[in-house]
Amino acid sequence: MLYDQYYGLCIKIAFRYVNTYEQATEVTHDAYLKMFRSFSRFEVRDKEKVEMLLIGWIRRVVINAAIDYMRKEMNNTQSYPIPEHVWEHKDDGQSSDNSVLYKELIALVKALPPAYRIVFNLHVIEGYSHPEIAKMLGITTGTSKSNLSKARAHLQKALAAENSEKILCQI
Amino acid sequence: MSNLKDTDIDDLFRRASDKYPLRTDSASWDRMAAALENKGPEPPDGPIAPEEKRKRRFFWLFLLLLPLAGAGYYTWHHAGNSAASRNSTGVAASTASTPATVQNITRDRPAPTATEPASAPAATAPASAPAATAPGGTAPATTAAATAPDHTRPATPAAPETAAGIPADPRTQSGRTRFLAARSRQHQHPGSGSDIDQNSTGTTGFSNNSTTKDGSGANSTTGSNSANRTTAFTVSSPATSDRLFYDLQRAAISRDFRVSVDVTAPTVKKDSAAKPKDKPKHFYAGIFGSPDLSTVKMQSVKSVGTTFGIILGYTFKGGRWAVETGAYLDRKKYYTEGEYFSTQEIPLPANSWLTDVDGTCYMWEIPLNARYNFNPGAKTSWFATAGLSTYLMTHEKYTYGLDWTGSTTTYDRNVNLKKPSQYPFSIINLSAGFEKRLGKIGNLRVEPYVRLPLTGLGTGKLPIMSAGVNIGITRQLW
Repeated sequence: MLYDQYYGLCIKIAFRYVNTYEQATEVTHDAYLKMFRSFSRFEVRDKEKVEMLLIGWIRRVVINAAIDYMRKEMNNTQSYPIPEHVWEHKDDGQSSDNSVLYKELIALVKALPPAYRIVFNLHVIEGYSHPEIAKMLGITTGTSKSNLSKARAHLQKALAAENSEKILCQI
Repeated sequence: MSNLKDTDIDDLFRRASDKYPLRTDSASWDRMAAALENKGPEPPDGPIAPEEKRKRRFFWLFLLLLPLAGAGYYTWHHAGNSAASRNSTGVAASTASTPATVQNITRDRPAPTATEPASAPAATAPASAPAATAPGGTAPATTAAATAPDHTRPATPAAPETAAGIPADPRTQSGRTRFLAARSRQHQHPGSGSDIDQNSTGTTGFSNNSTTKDGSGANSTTGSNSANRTTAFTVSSPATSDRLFYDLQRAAISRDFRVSVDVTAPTVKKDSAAKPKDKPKHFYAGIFGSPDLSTVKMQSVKSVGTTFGIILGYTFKGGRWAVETGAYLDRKKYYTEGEYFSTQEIPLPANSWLTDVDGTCYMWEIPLNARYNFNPGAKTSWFATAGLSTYLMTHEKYTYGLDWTGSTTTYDRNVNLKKPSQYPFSIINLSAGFEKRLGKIGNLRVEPYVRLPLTGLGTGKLPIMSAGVNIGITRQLW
């Protein structure tokens, strides 16, 4: 079922943008509502590519829903600690180590100010260009670049405080 | 860490974003189904549905018009009472003491002459006052709101127009396409371990374990490392609770799978709201008309004036701010008790006083307003303006009642001003309203307003406050 199958993808996208897990749940819910209500507008003419197109579409809807949500919460610059219960617990050696690292990295992203976080997510993770981001967020291209630069600087600084060897091994 | 390149950091965070172990068991299909079936209320903080937006617009419009309607009712109601009382007292007094030639309401009536009763004190005096203009100068009384369109993006997830209210962003194909292609390969690689890959246990797409509509639809996109993956798009009879979703899914799949054509990105329906045609900075002009309700110190309004005009404006700051000017032709009609009317320019007979005045004045109005748009670029944009106006009064006409020693008479007086009375920046303009796009015609502009005087206007130096609703068309010039 579409809902169950892609729920994980959706909430993981949303969680990178918003502050809390509960907000990510809300964003995902809103995104699915939009998807179901406008499913007729999802047109695919090649069955072989439908999955990719579908994933791309879902991504876009979730991102838009998250942006909508962020706009309303833009004044809320408070940084929220990520409670342990939101993480999925796996106990298999190497991947577990990686999981810890990934959790820390995501926590660093979420600690960014909202304006930096949203641009970082859109550009670095989702792969949007600065003009595209500028249009999506109603800001100038320069602002988008500036925010990304500042986001990277924040992350560089935060990473420097982390265990650099551990991270370097991952690269 | 300073030796880390941006690209390394980016790659690290990309991997983390794909593989970080977030709990994903908070899915609640029941809640979703309920929301879909009931078209239930959106969550308090969630996006607003288009229907809800429309309702809110109407609600605010209603709120905007409510005070105006109230004021209109009040003035109408008050006017009726006042007129009645005036008629009852004025007529009686008049008929009692000025038997022959003096009438209570006379139009284009010449100044009192020697036919006034000789018994009236200073009988010659009224003649000197209104007669200054009168006999010949009698004018007729007039009181009576995935991808760019057609972008093809082979081998990349495309993003069509999403949902109502979500802007569809045109994409550049270069970096984004390459990036997404790389991501999709990563998704498809069984060993890459993305969540979707892991969760879907080798089967992707819509799968519900039964009738295979397209078994050959096996794999897909990038073609690499996909032996154990089958994109089996299957649909089975759904459980009753999934009925709505099943219908949606079946409708989309059955339609899309019958057609095999070359891959094109999902078509994107143009959303005019997402692509405002207005340039952020531009000049615009418009014409409008409005009924004008004028009152002096919140007294009754006995008749309605008019305002017609043209406006010129220039928007800036991304369309959020604008300055406006123009030229309006106003005809204001008002009523006032005599006590508010300055008699400095009207020599009255001794022992006489004004009882009331019905006035009409004609003037040019030149406003200079600042306008703030709350949602620039939207199909229906809401705005508020504030500024100052200059009045150039060209013509005044009064009908006033004069009372002296128990006798009441009414005189008409027309004042053609050879030199317009000027009241520079002496009126405060306040308004709020909306502009709705009408296509090529332009924008429909509806703008309730109120104008508050900072000084007395006209011969009587009256503080004439006006209110109305400007309705007109505006167009972008260049």
